[in-house]
Amino acid sequence: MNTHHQNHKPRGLVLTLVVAVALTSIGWAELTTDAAGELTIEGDNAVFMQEANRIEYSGNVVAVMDGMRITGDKVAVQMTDDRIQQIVTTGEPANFYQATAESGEATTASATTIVFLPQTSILELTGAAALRQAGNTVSSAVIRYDLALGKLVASGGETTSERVRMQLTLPSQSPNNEEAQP
Amino acid sequence: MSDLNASTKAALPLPLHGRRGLVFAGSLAALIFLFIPWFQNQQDTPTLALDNEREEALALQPSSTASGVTWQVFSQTGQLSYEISASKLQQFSNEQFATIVGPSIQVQDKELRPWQISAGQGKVSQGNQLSDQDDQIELFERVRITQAQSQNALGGISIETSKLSIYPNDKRAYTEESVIVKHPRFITRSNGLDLDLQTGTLRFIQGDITRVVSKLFLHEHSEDS
Repeated sequence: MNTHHQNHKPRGLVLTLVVAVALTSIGWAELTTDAAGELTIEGDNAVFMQEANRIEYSGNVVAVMDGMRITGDKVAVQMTDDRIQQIVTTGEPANFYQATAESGEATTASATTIVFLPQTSILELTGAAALRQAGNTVSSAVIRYDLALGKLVASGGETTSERVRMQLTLPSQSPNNEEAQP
Repeated sequence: MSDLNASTKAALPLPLHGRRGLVFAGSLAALIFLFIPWFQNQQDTPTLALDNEREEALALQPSSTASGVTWQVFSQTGQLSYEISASKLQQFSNEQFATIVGPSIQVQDKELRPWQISAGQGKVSQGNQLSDQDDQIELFERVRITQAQSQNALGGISIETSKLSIYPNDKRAYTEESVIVKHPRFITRSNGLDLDLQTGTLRFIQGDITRVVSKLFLHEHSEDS
């Protein structure tokens, strides 16, 4: 009887996890089924200023495209007559996430301002910028990250004395020297 | 003898049962006097009710009707404020409004570019200048607002909803219903909208549950795709 009862708990837990994972994947699927070149933005409020050719979203804003996700307090989309010029996300901090298909590892970043330039696929992070990729972390006043190539350029800010700081995780040489890791 | 008896009876003090009858008759007369106004009111009420019903029925009847109408409304400075065309109009003068079928409204922004607004049905209520109350145009069924861009720019903007209130002199349009905004660079869905027809600024109103969702086209996009 007890055994029978105990068997139910893991089943219930597994079911709960499966449901939770399923629900998460449904939500994610909804956000990631956009066609190429389409960016979905969701917020509590929005204002479109036709004269300035600009849309501003505010309140828990989420921008999603091709496995990339940017979240922040505000997102401003600046357009010209024929294209979207830049998408500026601000927050305390604003966060960036990108799933990497090859390694399965994610690239994450945070900064007070994240500027996405869709024509060049460049991400500019300014203000307490930090980017984490494959266990390595780069902190700097300004970080430029190429989304297409997965390359980054970090530089000290022009107005601050902040220097580039990198924290690298070195791969282990052999199974026995785990203690030698920094 | 019988006549004498009768007169004698009248002159003599009334017997006890006769006095009771007089008291009863007096009380009855007093009651009648008291209730006369009440009876009058009772008689008046049905008449008043009939009058009210007649007035309401008359108010529901349009004072004038017209087909294929277009009229223009000018501001106090003499500028064209807005223009309305409708396939059918019914005017209710007593109620200070008109109902319109198939309305098409044109309102100009500050650069004199026209907003075209169309719907299945509508109601035009006249404002009150003394109380600074603006005219109001309420539109229902397949409401669509469009504005073409300048010649060099790509496409224009269009808004679709099921209900819209327009305040033409204030140059403002408002709805709390679900809306779809289509622009060459984005499509946005929301519940509620406040549009400044003068500047083109469009505010998506925060709903209790719903959020504003936009799909941005980073590259060229056609509405058919």
